[in-house]
Amino acid sequence: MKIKEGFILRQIADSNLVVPVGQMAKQFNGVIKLNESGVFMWKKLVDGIDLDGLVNALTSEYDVDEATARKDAEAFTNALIQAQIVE
Amino acid sequence: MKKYEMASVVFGVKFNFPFTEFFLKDYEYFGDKPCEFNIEIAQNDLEKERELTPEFEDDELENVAVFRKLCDKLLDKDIIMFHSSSIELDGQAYLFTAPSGTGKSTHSALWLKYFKGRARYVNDDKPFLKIDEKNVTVYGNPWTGKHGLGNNISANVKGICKLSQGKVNRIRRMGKGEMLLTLLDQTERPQTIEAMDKLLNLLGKLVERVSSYYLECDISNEAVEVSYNAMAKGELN
Repeated sequence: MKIKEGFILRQIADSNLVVPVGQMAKQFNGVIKLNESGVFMWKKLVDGIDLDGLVNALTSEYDVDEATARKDAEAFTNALIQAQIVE
Repeated sequence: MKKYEMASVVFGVKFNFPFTEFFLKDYEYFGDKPCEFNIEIAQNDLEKERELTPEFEDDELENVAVFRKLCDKLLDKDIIMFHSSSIELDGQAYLFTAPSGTGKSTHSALWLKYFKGRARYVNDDKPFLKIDEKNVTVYGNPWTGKHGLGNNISANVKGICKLSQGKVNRIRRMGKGEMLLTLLDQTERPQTIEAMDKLLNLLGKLVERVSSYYLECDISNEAVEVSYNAMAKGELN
């Protein structure tokens, strides 16, 4: 899975925001607000990673068991798939 | 080419339709300052606008194309358009924002009635905000919305308030993150990464400098009192 071209992640006034630019702004007119682990997962997905890879990355970065990490990673990626932000 | 001044910026506009000249006339500039930039509308600009609003005539398309180009240019001068109804009272400006149809113009109209003679419109729909190191200033422009309410004036922005319809009148402070999302929702989003970075940077400064509020309100004098007491006097109910 990989985040499509045309999104930028920026930290503004303590908020982590993802906004679409260029052509992408015509398809997706929203803003995504991410928490800390969301930023972590987003950055992994910008480079491209599969679900298992994301779960591994989460368990090595955070003090979290595999089942919880998988649940979080699935919820996060499902939301991105739903919004057609990943390919 | 005629010269105009908006948000303290002097610029030139080359137009093809008399409607544009008529529309901009209150902002024509007759002084000696040189133009900081020029706006020229080509046929392909009209065609781009036609895709967005096919029902518009060519002269109306030119008008919106001028506004879009102006917003792009003003971003370089730390000025953004913020979709809101803005009024000035006792030298300070108050901005009301909400999705179209919520009643921001209605709330502004209540303020004008309540503070008869003391309050006036800056711009009822799409004012410009200049964000500098210390202050945020709102400026009028001719794009005043469907009721044409606005004046060629400016004022320091004291507060920004997001509105929603309610059965009771109550107000609370909004957090910076919440305000940021509201601002992004109600401004013109630039297309390039550079311009988007510039906009985000300005919005970040804006939320640091201006207090923001969330108001649930009906259509009554009490609604005005609740929003005024909070925004002008810092009294939250």
